[in-house]
Amino acid sequence: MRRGIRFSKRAYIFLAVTALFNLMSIIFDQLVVQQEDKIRAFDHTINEKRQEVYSNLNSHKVFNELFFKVHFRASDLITDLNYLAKATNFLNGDLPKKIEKNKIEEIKIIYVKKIKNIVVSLNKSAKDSHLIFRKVKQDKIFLKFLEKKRSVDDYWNPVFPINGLESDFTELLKKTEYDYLSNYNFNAKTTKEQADNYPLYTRIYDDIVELNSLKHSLNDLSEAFKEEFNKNFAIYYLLLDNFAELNNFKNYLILLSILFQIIGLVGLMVLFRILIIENK
Amino acid sequence: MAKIAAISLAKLSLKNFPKKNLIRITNFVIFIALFAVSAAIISLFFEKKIEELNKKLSSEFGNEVIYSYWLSETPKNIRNIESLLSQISRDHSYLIYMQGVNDILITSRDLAHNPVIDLLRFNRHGIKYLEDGIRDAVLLSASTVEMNEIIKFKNKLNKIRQSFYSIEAKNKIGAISWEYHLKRMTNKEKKDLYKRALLAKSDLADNLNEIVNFNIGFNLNYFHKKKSDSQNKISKIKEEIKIASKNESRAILFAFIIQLLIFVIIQFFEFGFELTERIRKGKK
Repeated sequence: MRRGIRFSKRAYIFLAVTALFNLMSIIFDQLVVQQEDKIRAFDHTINEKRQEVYSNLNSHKVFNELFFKVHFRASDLITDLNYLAKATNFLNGDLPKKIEKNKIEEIKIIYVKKIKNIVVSLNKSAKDSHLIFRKVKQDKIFLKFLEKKRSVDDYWNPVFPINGLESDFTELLKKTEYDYLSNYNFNAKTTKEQADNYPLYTRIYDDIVELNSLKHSLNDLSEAFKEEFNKNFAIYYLLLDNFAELNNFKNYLILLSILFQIIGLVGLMVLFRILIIENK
Repeated sequence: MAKIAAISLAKLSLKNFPKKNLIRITNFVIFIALFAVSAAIISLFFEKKIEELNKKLSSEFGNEVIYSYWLSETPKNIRNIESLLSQISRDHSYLIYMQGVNDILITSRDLAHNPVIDLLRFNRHGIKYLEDGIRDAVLLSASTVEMNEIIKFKNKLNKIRQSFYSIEAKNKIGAISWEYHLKRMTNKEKKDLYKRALLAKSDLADNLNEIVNFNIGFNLNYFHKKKSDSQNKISKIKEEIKIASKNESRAILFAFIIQLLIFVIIQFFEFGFELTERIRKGKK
């Protein structure tokens, strides 16, 4: 008669240990898979947040640079226009001057050229600033940021100031296309002639002031994007912390799964040993 | 064919192997498995340490964004203030000369209006910029010494702010920035305002210079120090990670040697006893 394998109490204990640890290894394997899914989703969130953080920082920097660009350009143009218009009037006028006539003519040619350049520079500066502004606006991450859903009580919605700035730029560009100097009398000698030039001078002056006033909106946007950057950076920092924790947890799960698998194998080998000793 | 296969399989039956050899094989496999268990436990211990270090490393890398921001923006801010100051100084030089030639040509409005508006705006902008710097510095501070240093500079910034507001209040020049107020003023009031603005001009410029000094004394120095500290910290953490992984391999090797010794000793006792028993039986 054939005799089956004899299982002692000890063998049963080790069989149970082996089964338990193998089961735990499978459970931890499943936990690793679930954790991996969580990490994938979290990785997506963290990448989006990182892009948002860098986009906010970039927008803040570009708007800040534009603020200074507009300020210095407008300031230079106003100073030059003020000086050149007044100096030309002075040179044309009857007021006593300690300068030769031919020298006056030479200086006047340079000053007239410079006044004409101011008009060209005003238009160019408005175009350049608008182009930089539009480039920032066309950035995909920036657009995504603008389209983001915001709660009703959100303290700041960038869409309105940006649209406002866009229409201000368009309006200014239209104005600066005007030929300001076509009727300007560069040889205005009498007070009346000089006073007739005044509306044209004011028109250029006002448009430069308008260019200058764009800096307020640009500065507000720059400040607002800095605030947005601070807020998003704090969230990103917390997310980074959580991400590291998730990864650490996954590594522990993997290590524990391996550990239980090996312990299960040890149990199995001990079980074999017991069976060999008890059945031979 | 089936018979041949059955015979071959029968040869593999455990009954065909001596018990002593089977036990020796299981002992060896248990030894290998136990070694793997100990290696996994050692890895768990060291991995915990390495991951803590990695966490510190990622937070340091995060802070790098802030240090780089301040270190790149502060020189630009200084440059802008200096550009404004030199522009105002240059314009003032030739405007004052022109006024000397003919005082109808250049009025006190030309000398005061635009420069003072710009000086006021740049002072406000500069103070706001420094406040942001102090706020970020507080967030990044890591010790009481650093906090005390920040407090010292914060007090200095308060003085700059107070000085700015006192210049504005003392000279009553707040209205100059508001077109609405200017339009409602009489010519005499405007003339007085420009006169006061001209008086405040150099004080406002001095205050801007204080802002520049603060930018250099605090923003540049503090964030530069923090950045180099952070870089040292990063290389230290990287070194610690390297050491920890080296220690991990050493610990696993050490565990292997100890287990091998224990295994050899156990095998020696197990088979030594058996051998002694057999010799004793043989003598009988």
